[in-house]
Amino acid sequence: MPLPLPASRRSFLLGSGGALSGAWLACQWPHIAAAAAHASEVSDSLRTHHFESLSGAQAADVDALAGQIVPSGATPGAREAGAVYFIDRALATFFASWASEFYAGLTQAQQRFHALHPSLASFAAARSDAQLAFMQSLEWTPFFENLRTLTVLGLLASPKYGGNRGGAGWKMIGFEDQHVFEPPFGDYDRDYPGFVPYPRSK
Amino acid sequence: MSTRRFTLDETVDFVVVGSGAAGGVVARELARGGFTVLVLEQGPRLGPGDFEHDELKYFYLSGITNDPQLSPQTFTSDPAVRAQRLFGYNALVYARIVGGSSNHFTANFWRFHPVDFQERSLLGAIPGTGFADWPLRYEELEPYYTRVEWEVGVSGLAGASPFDPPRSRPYPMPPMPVKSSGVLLERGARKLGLHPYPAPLAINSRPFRGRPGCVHCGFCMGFGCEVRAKSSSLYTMIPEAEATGRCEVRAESYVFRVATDKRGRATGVHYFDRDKRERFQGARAVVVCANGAETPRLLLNSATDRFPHGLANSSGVVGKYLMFNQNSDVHAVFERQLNEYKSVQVTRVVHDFYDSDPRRGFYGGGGLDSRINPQPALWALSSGGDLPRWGTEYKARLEAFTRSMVVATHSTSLAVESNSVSLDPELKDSWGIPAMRVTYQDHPDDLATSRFLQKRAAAIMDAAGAQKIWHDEVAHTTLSFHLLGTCRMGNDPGTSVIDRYHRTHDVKNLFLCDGSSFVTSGRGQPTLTIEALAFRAAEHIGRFARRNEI
Repeated sequence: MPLPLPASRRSFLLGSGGALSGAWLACQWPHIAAAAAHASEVSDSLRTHHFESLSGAQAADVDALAGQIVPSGATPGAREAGAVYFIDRALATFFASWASEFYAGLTQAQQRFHALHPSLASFAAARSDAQLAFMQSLEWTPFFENLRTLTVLGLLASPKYGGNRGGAGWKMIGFEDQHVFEPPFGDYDRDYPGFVPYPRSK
Repeated sequence: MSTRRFTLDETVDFVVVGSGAAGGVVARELARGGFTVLVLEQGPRLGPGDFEHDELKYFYLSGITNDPQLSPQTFTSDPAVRAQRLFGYNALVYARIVGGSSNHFTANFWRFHPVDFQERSLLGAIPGTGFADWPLRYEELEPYYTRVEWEVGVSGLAGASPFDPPRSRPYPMPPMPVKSSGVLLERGARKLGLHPYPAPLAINSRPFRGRPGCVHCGFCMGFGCEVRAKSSSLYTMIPEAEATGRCEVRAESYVFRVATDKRGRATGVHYFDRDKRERFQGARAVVVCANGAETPRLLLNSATDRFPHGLANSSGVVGKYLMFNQNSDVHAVFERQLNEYKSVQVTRVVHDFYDSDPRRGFYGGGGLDSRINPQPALWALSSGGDLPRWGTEYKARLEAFTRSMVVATHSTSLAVESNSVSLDPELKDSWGIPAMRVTYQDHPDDLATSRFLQKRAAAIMDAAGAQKIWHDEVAHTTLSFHLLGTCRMGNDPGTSVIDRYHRTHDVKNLFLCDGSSFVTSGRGQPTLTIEALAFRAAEHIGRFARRNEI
């Protein structure tokens, strides 16, 4: 049975670009092209990756759900960071105690989505607008909380846990993975004139 | 590593339970005083090379803290409601390695002010609380604050705050370089007529006592220091205790009972070694420095026929009057780069609201400081106020990471008898020892103080020119690293556990020294006071021992 793959990121990005101004597109095009190419690689990787905990169908849906929490765009999102690989490993190992609740929530979400969209193979196969609408109905559920936490950890925790591939999440937020820094650290302390004592200081 | 090894059939002068902020100081001082000292620490011994920049491990997988899987706790906010385990975390958190929580603390090192020790006399009783004076005054503790600053190592600018308590010496190191968050806090606070000042920190701003200066890696809060610049017991007091040749630090040794004889004297401690084998080590005296959570638990687990309600608990207050420090955050985003993930967490503090003011209509006071939760995922999962929690707008918030900061408020927690550490009647830890049951509900005045400070913090950020400011509603506390008040100090054996010299009222050769000794909470940042108390306690304990008064 063929693995239900998410909608092509490239087609989504190109499609949504039609609503944007030409100037913005011209400015963002290199980023968009890079993100789309990366997303295509992500899809290929999903198809071939051996998941420890998630089934192929579950992985595709979790990848799409994570991709709505931190979307792709001019900068990488949860999908490009490989959050789904982190989630898979987490549920198989260090967050195994979360697994039963997570899977129950995921199954329930998949069933609800299918009831709403019987013609679609899966959440991952849906258009982004349908995914967005469904996500809004999920937002205040325990499953969403777990999914969100795992997605963010998959985006920003150390790459050694399977997500944040190539430090993509860190680059997105501007965090530099270094052990040594020197002042000035930011724009506001660059020209600090020094601490001026108060008249009442001792 | 230890140069001295004691055998199990030896009787040492002192067993010190716990190797953290207090245990390290007590061990060094007693060993330097000529006594044999065995320090027993629950957790393993790690070194600079063992610590990592790995927030998942340290904040989500109990990398160096008490693990809720192995050392579970139950929690309830209502004494009438059965306590339950919290999902995935313990309410009371401490570092479970040699050096204890002095490894993972933020290293904010405020002295208490004179008012902290005598507020009950100044303000009067507060109904429904155990609000009380300490049996000592600031002036008596001041020399020991100075010893901590000079012997453990604190950077700062003495007298910079008009509210700074009297001091006999300046800091031994200049303050850490200011960060953008500090500049902005200072800018906003000065505009409002307040008095921000350089934060005192137990972090080397330059090489000090054989340890290097900070390299500004940004992984202080929640992490062990990888370069030994943070003045943790692991790097300061513990090696100096071992260097005497009279002190052994025995890691992975979990003390679960203090042994007593028919005369009611402590004879040593029972503990589990790293292979979960039960061991006994005899001692002429025992000093428990296991922290404000584990110290009362150990006493309650040491009950005997002679001490049916727990050791040293004739007053019935062991475990009671648990205090945290109420706290809240105000988030702000600015136009330009702050890069708060770099360097120490805090560089400016405001103490204008330190004192309680009856005109506010409630008891309490506190301080504000500039910071951020510097680790990316922890920050990304922190409150975004009314901002979306997912989608493109959430991502935009994440992309403002380097332009964001927090003003944290730290304030008083009143001593309330029902707030407590007790033994859960059913739950046991992985060693089969009764687990901790935590009961805690913030006093209404504690919440009011946090709300008051939150408004001031928001005003400061507004005055500093923040583009966006938000905060959550002040909430009841279900998680704390500040573990205070559970074996309170006092002159009256009927209402306190230890006397002013940290000796238990009930057992002559049993001493307690850590956050559990506190009578009031202070305004936050308790570790400097814990260490000052430890210097003072060790001096008196040593004197008692030399006079054969133990």
